Amino acid sequence: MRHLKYLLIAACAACFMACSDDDDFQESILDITSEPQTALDEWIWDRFTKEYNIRVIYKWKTFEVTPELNLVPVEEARVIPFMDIIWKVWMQPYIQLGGEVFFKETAPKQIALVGSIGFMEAGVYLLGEAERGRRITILGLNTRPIDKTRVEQFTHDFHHEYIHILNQLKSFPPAFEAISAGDYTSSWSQYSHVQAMGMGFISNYAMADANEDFAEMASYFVFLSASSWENRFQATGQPGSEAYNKLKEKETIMLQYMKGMYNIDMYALRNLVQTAMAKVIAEL
Amino acid sequence: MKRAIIITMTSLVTIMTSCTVTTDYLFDELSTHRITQYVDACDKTLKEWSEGWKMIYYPDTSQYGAYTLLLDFNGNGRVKMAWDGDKDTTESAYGFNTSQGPVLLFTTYSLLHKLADPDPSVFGGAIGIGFEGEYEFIIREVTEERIDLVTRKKKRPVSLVRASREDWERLDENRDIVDRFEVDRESPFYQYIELGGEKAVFLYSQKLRMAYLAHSKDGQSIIYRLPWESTPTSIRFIRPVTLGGVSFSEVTMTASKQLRIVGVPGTTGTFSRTSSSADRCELRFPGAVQDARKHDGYNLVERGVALDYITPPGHGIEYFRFYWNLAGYAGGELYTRNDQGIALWGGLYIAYTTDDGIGDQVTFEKHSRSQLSGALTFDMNNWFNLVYFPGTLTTYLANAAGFTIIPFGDQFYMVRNADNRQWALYSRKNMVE
Repeated sequence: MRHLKYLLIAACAACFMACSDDDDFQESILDITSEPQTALDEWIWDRFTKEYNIRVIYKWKTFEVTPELNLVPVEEARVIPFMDIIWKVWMQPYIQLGGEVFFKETAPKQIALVGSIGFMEAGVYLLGEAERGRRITILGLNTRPIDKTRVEQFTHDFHHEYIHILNQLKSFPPAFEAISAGDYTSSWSQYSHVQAMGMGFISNYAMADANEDFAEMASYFVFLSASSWENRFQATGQPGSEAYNKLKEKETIMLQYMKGMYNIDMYALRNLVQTAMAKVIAEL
Repeated sequence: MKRAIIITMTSLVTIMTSCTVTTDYLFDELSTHRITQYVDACDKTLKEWSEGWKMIYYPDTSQYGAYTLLLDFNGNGRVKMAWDGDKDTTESAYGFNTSQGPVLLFTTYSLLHKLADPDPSVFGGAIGIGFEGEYEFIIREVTEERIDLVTRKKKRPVSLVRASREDWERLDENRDIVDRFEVDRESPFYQYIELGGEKAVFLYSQKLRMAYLAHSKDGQSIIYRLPWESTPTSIRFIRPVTLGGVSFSEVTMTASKQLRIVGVPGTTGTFSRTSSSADRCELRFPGAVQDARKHDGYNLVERGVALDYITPPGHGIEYFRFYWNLAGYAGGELYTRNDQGIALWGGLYIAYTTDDGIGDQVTFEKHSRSQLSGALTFDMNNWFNLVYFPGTLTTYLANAAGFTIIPFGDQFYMVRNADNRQWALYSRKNMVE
């Protein structure tokens, strides 16, 4: 006990001595100055950040996106048109169906916009990325004016990346991957869509791996009309063929996952997305 | 004894703890403060000069010359730009990053980004890299008159120097002089400069900002690669060149297309062009093919860029890449875009057929089994593919005469077919300086 007393006294002395410090803690060593705010920044704040805690990154930050690729920033004039489309064809349908709480919990906290597409290898582009369940990067916004095809592409791309986010938060069943196990290939770009469909994939990119397969299934489901979706199934061969059955199995698992994990009725979502797309295209 | 140990230990603890001495900083301020102050000073310098700054930017002198940009940093994180590339101007955002030293960043799309755009359909250059330009610059030195920078990735030097009102007002003249050197679309195949009794082929690319001067001397082929920059009255080479005993680094072209050598009084060069498709290049380069054969890698000629003026009207071929694999065949790729601006791609394979026996010229023609590759159809689901556009390539390859490849040394190539279309191709190997 007496020994303990010595130790305590020494420790106290040490503490007092260590606290003698002349450092000035008033000023941060970090650069905490904020950038000048433009009308565009205010629009982003009002629409996405204030309510949904989504930061839209349109100004280039070193290492914010894949450093291996040569990329350029987005043209400022393209930010609002693109984000407005995203608001209509992605955010509003999901909020309407899943509710504000669901959306705030699952929405990416960062949406990064890049002007150029990412040229990866002959014939392969990087158009989007989803990371850690929290961030979506969309590339190629400067490529050409917004027309019907671009609206459809944006819709597909953004839903595709958002499905990745949902999968990163809650995994899809292993049974999905088992359906086409052995057919996934890094050489997916060597296959045409028709060839891929003949093997039970909704697109050639779906052949890349099970994650892309799932994201392609869900994103094609909502951005294609019901009849186009069915036509795509017909392209795989007759009902009962191996490819047709594989796609049907994937469709079933995807629909059950979205309903079971997130209470999202994909048929209802498709209707909302289709209506929103038609309206956006009509307003072009 | 135990007590002695305890006392010793507690004393040691006390002594060691009390060793927290006051730090003597080498600098008056913390590094983070100093770097912030440095970029603030740089920003202040940029904003305070009311007539803006001039940047003569050589993205890579081994392949491209310079674009001259004028930048007006008017505060609030905005910068206006004009350049000698075209009449476009931009207003965009800029900022600073201090995580890798003081870095000046141009953070939204501007004229400067055109040189870095990896999509050749935007401004040209090679697919995936464009003109290899950059838009992040490490700040090396700041003075009132000049800010020295290096590009962040490749560490290439570039400076911002104070511009004048005259620089802005005369930018049209820069563009005009650049245009004058351009070859007429209708006729010429080769153009020459003759000076002091020597005649050299003069190749000029407005887009690449590059000129080549090629001639034979004492049986040797000499090729000067001349990256250039524009002035309101001339184009100025990055280094002097000698022809006919005259050393010069700046040339100008009168409105009536008369070539003048700048800085060498009384010297006038003759600038001539040929328009006959039957007129073959006068220059011979013995042994060039044999030299080329030593390089049997697939990418002997790694890439080439179609010069604007040879683009067949209505076809829109914007980029041409040629592979020469001397193991047996050559291959090429054509990039273009359709009326919606979508990149289109076609591959072709061309058989190595003849050598003219001298070794300085070689002819290729379309292989009887040549194939066009790429997806055969285009629809909205083909976003992930560069797509073959049948109309363009069918027309192009219908020419039974095929291509003629003329090696200039083993490093520079000219390609022509019977339609008198011409491409300048170059390898990554160093040219004669």
